[in-house]
Amino acid sequence: MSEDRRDALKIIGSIGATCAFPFSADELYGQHSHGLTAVAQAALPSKPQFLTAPEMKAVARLADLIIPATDTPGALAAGVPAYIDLVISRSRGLQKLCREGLAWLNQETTRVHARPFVELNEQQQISVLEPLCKRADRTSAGESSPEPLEVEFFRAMKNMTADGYFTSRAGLIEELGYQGNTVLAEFPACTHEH
Amino acid sequence: MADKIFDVVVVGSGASGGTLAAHLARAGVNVAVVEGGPKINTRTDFNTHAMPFEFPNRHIPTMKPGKQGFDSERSRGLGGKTLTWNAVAWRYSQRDFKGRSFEGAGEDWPFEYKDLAPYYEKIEREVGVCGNLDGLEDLPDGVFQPPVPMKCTDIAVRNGAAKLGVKVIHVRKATLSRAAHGRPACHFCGNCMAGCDVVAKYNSADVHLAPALKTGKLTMFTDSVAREVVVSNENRVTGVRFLNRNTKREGEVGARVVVVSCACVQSVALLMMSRSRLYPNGLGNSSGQLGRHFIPHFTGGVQCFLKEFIGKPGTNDEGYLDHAYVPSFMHNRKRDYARSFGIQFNYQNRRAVGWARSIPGFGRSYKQAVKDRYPAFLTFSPYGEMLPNPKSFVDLDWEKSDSYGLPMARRNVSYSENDWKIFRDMTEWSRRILESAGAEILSVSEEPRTNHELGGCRMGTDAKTSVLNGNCQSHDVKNLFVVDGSVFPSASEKNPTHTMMALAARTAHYIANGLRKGEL
Repeated sequence: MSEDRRDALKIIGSIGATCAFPFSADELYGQHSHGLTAVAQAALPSKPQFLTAPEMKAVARLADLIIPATDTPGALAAGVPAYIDLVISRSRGLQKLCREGLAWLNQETTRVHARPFVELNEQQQISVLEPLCKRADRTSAGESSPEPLEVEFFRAMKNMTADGYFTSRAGLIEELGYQGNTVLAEFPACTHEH
Repeated sequence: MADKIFDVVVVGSGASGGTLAAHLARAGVNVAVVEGGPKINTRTDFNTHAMPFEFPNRHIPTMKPGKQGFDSERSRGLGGKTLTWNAVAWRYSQRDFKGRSFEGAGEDWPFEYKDLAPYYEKIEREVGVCGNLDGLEDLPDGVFQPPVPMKCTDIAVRNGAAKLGVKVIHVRKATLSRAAHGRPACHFCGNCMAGCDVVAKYNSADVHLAPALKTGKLTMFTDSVAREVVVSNENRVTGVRFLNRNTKREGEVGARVVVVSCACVQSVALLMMSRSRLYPNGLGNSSGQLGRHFIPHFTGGVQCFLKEFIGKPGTNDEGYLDHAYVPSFMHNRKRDYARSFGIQFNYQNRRAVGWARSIPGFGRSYKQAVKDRYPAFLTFSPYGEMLPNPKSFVDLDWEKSDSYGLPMARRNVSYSENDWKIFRDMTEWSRRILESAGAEILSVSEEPRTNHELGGCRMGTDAKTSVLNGNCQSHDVKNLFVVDGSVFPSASEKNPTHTMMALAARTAHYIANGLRKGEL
């Protein structure tokens, strides 16, 4: 008998077969095969829905820089680029912003380093993004002034990367250590010293 | 004309309609429920245990593929919003019922706490409410199952609040902490508001309506969208007209008594749509008060990280969602406004990490900062009492109709000076309590949002300033009743559902007696 199942029987506990409630103990267990570990991540589209191949390459590089692999997988392994493309494909506003933002990025790196963004080394790429991130963080914190396209674009990329990563299997379970959606016979009372 | 005439037809099957219909059926009254949505199988139809990554767009749909219900703005489905509510169950206090008498603001209810107390108790005994006996003047105790232990973060907040003389108590919920009534205890999977598939959490379909069906006195008309309560030239309601949700075909069911319980704004809308020669401005609206005094709760919020938990190992603590509450503590404090607020906290599960967007930076340090804060995240959602004002009302937009060709209800909300004062003070207190508990504040909402729709069809002793009398009975039409949040003359700061259910039980008792004596 699985541990989930044992816990469930403990919870159902005292309910007899003759109760007024019109469900048997087995039905009371509902869809409880919680089995978090068994749930796979849904496949994302294998081909880009909106972005062109070079755009996709740049988006993947951006996502990788925003949430890199460490001792846990990063945005790339979590499928974030395909997620971002899917989100963009469903919003006219994001389509315009991201297409123009990606174009800005390459113009800027061409101006400074004479190469498109994806061909720069990591240090150069980070130095392009840092001022954008600082500016985006300031406005996120409540400062509101008209914002240049590239700052708005960076914020959108960061938001989509964070959303995609922390809702992925890798982000939520491996990185953050999510433990819920399980069966507990009792709620663990606090044992900390406060 | 209706084929069949019932003693009572109840429109709506949620907390109010479901409770009321079950109580009537148990009293031997022939009752029919008209519900706009489908019958839902709580055990199988909700996406209760889904994880966001099971869906390419990471959005978890409420229903499983191919299952109907909860796909419209009107929470249609047998059981109404009780299927997805958070189950918080407070009794209102004498001060909540008598705001005008106590401080000259808001409106008195046409009865006292002691009149509703026996019905609160009846509900607690039959549905099961867990909580602690706290002995508070503004939050009466009841008959409770043992409370669920607080989360670690709740205890940190409780300690911080205590330094300011503010109490944090166990939340009280209509969710079982012990197996009872043939239902299992909560097993802390954390999905209460995604639909509790073992019915540890109360819902009216499984707890009230399903057992009441066994009396043989209850008939269900599901997928039946009410469009009119019919009134005769003799000033009596005679039944309810509805449209089949799928075929759009019209049907009618006859009644000696009609009870409208379709969730506040929709109840007001149904009465407004029910125009007749006698009532050209809406049924039971000779006073012109229908739709007025719309007083939904307003809420704000503070998001923070409790410093003592930053970087610490996480725990599995999302089960049962929120475990603690800051009850109203302002009634006895000096302040420059009337009425009060309470603070709910931590009622989201740990699958929602939207706050990660707001953590500054990018790269390795950003990733680590989010991970460190994950166990420390906490939200405060204060709820304030709105006072009635002439600019807050519900009306119909006759230019805009829904897919049934029925006019859309419009919510007009405008905050008064008193409302803003409460909003600012509850936001300030939320921040102060969290800072006292050692919090790093992430965000503070600056605009009130509405939640818990209340008012619009209020009870009162004066037929010129209210729609219903103290028995939820129309001043105009003796055999018409309304029972749900719309009847509240004042909102209190407390989650309203327990009071709706107690009112439903009380009204069922009144109707059953009235029918027995031939007075209705």
